[in-house]
Amino acid sequence: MRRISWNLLPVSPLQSFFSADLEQVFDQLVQGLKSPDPNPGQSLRLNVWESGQTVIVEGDLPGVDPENLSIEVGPDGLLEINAKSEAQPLPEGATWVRRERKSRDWNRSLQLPFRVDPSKVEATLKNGRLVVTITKQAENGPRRIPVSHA
Amino acid sequence: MNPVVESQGTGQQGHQHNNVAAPTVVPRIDILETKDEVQLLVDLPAVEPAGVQLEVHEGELQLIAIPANTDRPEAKSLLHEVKQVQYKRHLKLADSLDHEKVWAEQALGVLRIHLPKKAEIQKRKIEVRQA
Repeated sequence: MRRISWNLLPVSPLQSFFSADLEQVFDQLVQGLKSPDPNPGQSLRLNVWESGQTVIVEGDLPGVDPENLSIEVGPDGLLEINAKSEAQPLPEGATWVRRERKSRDWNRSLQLPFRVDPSKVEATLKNGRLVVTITKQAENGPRRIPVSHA
Repeated sequence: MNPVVESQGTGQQGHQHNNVAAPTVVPRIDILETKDEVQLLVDLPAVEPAGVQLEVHEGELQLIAIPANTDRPEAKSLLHEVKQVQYKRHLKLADSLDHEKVWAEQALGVLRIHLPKKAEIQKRKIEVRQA
């Protein structure tokens, strides 16, 4: 999976999206949840929820066909989402009266603050809303070592 | 003449009107015209068909849409950038459109509203036969 050098990243959208106070509170809450977003496309806004060993990531992608959606998750918790909403083709003989919706690219990279199991990631796209369900990697806690008599 | 013009809810697309409960957002639309009808394409992500309220009243198309509430009270929120909103847009329809035959369909979070032209407005192709 492609890795991104943190030294070369622009200011995180998270940092500009929130006010200073909110950002400070947020940083304390998420501890290491960063959004490098190195790609030039539109930044995809996300909600992230944690419930036990499960993490749910949600975002809105109106007009995106699942074939034009790419989701990658690495064991280190780096999530990358790239999507493209194709421009609506005109029916034969039709003309545009107004265009407010254009072909759009959405990109987002998100560093989750824990390791994940890439084999246990599921995604659904329904009514233009993406839901990615990620399972954390089981913690390797301290292991009791049996000691046998010599 | 423009078949569809703004009547309310003007402003920049995605502009939010402050409301404590759920901010109102003006959804982006495309408008295209064919020989027989005018179509509106509206971005309505996370909106179920049951969450769309579409009415034509006194020549005005009124659209209100409520996205599904995906709050998860049992889970801890780590990031919250997608806010709960309601979409609202009002458009004045030209008299050349048949207001009684408006219909809509939804796919991929996009609502397509069909506004058929009145029968007498639709251009007819006249067949020319060999004498």
